[in-house]
Amino acid sequence: MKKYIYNYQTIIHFSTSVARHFFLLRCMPCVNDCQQMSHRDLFLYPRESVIYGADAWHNPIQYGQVLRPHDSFVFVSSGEARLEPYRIALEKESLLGLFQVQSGQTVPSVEMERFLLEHREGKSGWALACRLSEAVYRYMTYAPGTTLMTTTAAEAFGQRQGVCQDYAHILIGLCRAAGIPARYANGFIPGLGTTHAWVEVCDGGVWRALDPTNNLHEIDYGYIKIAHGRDAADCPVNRGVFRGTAGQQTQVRIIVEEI
Amino acid sequence: MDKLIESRDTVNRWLERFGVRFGIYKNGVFKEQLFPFDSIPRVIPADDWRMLEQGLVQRVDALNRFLYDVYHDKQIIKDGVVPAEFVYSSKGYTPECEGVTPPHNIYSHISGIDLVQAKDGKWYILEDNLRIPSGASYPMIARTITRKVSPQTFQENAVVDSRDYSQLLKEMMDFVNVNGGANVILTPGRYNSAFFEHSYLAEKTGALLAFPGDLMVENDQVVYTDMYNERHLVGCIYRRVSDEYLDPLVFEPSSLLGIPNLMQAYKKGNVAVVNALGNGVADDKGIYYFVPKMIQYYLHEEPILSNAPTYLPYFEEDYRYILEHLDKLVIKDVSEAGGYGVVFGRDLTPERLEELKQLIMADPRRWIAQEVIDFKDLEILEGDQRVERKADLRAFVVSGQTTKVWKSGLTRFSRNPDSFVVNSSQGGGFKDTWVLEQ
Repeated sequence: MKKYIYNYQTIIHFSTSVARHFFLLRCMPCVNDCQQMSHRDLFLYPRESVIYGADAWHNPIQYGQVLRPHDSFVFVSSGEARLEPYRIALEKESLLGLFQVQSGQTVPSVEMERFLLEHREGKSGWALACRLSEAVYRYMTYAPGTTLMTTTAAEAFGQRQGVCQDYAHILIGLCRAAGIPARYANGFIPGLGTTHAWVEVCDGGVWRALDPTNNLHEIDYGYIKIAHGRDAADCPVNRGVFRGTAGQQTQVRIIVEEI
Repeated sequence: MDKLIESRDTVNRWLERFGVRFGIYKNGVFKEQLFPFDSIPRVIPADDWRMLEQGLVQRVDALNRFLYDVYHDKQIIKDGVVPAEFVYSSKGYTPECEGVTPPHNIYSHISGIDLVQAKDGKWYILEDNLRIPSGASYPMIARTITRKVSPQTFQENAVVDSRDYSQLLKEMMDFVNVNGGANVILTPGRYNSAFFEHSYLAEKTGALLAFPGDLMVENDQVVYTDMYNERHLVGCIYRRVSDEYLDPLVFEPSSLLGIPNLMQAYKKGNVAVVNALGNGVADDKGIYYFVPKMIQYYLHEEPILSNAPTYLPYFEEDYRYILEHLDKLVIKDVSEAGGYGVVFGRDLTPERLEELKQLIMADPRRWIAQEVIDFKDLEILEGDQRVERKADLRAFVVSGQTTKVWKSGLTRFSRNPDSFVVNSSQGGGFKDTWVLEQ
């Protein structure tokens, strides 16, 4: 077992004041077989009551509303996580089928199908997933700013550039095309940075993790998960709607350290 | 009957005066048009109706059981009756509804089931509409006006009174209402194609007509704010906004029609949503194929009403049949509604037929094919001439404490003699539907 402290801060500045602001956040770590929380806290500004719930994937969600006018919105999620090696027993057998079919952002292009054939070499299951992860790492170039939140696996693969979200989508698309159930995971990794995305693959009734962006196959420690889903569209950290025509500027800072 | 025919123009004038319109978007421009009423009714004898009624109740009950199963235990998938792939790759499958149980387990409160009658008198189910089936208001108001314009018609003919539809709706809403709060009808607004219907049904059922922005979720409760700024707790929302626009924090983020955090209030059981979210998985044109199997699976009964003979290119045998007989079949895109995406093979040039073949081969899951049914035509008035046109029937089935079929329906006909497509969004007209007392 290893312990980590984390502090995740987001500040949104509105150019003019907004009101009737409704929000739904996924910014607090989940609890599962390999991830227990000693404590987890959420600080919100403007100060409002928050409701804690779960989404369809059992990810923790935090939601509520700020009705009065405000010109910034801040949330700070912090706490201490105790991690065991990354292995999660299959939670709900009946939903496994959902991670075997492609979703909006993972549908592979013809080029990706060809890529899969080239790297398959008689392998299957976990061994194939690891091989594909490494192949994606070698094929792609990490280039922030070249893709958007809505970019699909096929688009990122086509331009051979992207960020962790795109690497994850490509690997998920390839795994599912090869018959391996795979899902998108979002969370924090040690150091100073922003949120990170990786891939969970189901092998023999257990979810294991791969990080194609960092060419890590057998993830054990250090990955604190806040959400998983079919693809990035299922795991947005922050969604909100408000009344007003303000522009917004967002600052994000995450610190994670092993203790 | 002659009196009735004479009444046509008068009834249409009244409909116009009451603002009974149907809006359509054509080339991106919103246009409102009258929905032409034809005064010769479709007449359904009592015996036929009893059979239809039983068949429709059976079908809707099975569909409701299916929806509950799909979002909970998925027994029908585990037992291999419906392939998992069909469910999970259906556009209407909504994972956000996993494990969410609507009040009284009812998903499809208002089902619009489209039927056609063949020349031999046999009825076929054409499609199930379990999301936001529209159209009941048109025969409702047409009947009301006809009774005024031509009262003797209903003295001379033993027609079942159909003015109870709003009562059926109200009873259903009261039954699923979770907290005794208000019933509201949520409309996307003035520019929705069925806005007349939304306002008419609100008036007739005594529900509040809510526009986007009138409803708000606070602490997992839905609140309606009226024009005096007074707040009312809401217990049931009959929404005429589709799932993807209903909660911008869970579905389409750019939606201005939705209610933020409605999904959370709904999940907690603090409001009934009519129809439930996620129903699209059961009225998918691909899932349609499996409805007779659902009836056997859940109810252990034989289906009373038949599907039109349908082929799924997903299955190898059907795939080959479709490619060989494409020129004789109707091909439907499973993701389209309102008569869009329906193609008759016989109308296509050899080149277009080949293109369609390629599309089917590229994405078999996207298509279904059906045999063309030889419709029984109905008489309509074209000027002063009686001519025959294709028509279908949308039956409205309301599921509350029990499942009931409204003893009328929307009979739509095609004005174009060569067309089989009768959808109002394609410019057809409508008739009243008479169910005879004996």
